[in-house]
Amino acid sequence: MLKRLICAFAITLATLTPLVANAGSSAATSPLLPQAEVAAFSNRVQHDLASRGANVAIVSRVGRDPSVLPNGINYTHVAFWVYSRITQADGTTGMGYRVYNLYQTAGDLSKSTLVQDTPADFFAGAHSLDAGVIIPDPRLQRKLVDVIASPAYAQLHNPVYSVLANPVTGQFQNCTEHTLNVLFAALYDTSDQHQIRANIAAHFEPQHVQIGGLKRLLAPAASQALTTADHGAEVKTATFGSIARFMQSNDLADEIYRITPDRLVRFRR
Amino acid sequence: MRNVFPITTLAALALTAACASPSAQHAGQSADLSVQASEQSVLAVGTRAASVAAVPLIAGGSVLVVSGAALEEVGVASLDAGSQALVSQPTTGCGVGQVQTQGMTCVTPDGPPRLN
Repeated sequence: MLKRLICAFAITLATLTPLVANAGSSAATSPLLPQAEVAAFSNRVQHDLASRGANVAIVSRVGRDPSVLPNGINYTHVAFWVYSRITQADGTTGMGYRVYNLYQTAGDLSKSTLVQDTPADFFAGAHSLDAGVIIPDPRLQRKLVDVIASPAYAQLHNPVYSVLANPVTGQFQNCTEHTLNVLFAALYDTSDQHQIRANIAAHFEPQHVQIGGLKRLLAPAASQALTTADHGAEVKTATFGSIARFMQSNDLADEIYRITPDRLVRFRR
Repeated sequence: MRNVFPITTLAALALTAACASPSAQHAGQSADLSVQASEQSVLAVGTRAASVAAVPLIAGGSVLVVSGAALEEVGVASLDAGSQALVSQPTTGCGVGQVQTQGMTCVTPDGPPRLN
């Protein structure tokens, strides 16, 4: 039994370490998709959002082969896209979308940083050109802009990162949970984190992730970003799908859809 | 060997919500892409925040300045969770209807979200 445990531990470490290392900043890896395709798709998403009059959207990307992702999880990164007047370093200005991300910190994947970047940056590390999109109700978009442009946006950031953060406790946070916190801050006009978490616990149903006890025990040895110390018997985390279901069931979204280079599929419950 | 599958499956969790940033290599490439983007009258791509200032806007009208045709809807998909129903909140020392947050604080949640 001990031998099997040691074997399992060794395999876990060997398997997880390189993957975790690549999860935050894959500086040493080659891009998965051709640049031109990424550029065209980024602009296609921008054009699509703009044509629908979206000032703020919640957009997700596929960062890994979906076949290796747990059941119920399709997208691996979520961020706000905000229609903005953009001034470049050379003084030129234009209109477009800026992306408000929470990224794992390069060099310390158990920490995160808030980063603004571009649509093309957002899709640069994608496994496939496939985005999940939520366009909130216009009234909610205004509230979201107010929060994103305020100090509350940064105050809602907890830099202690966990891949499977529990959205109720606030002990750890990932990109999806920060998005959820900003959403609830906007919905309830508050930046009180206790109240936000209480409202999340009362009204938001996170995604249940099936993970065994041994795996939960061994995972933090590979990376602290894999901790599930903030969960009880079950692991439940915020995902793009769970946010989409929450917004759909509470009539908070104008549109929820999946977009690829050549098709658009609307999500319905 | 039978143990390998569930353990390697765990590896996927490392990337489930990985919030991974694009690499420096990616960022450099995407900066190059800005030329292509600007050809479509879209200020789409730039360098990181240090060299760019962005002001969020609430623009009126149904079509924003970044114009383009919306993709055509071709089907309907499901948002099903793909998982079993969740159990209710675990027992805490809080009162009825209250939620215990980090720091053992008991908070009474507001009602369901409404925009009106």
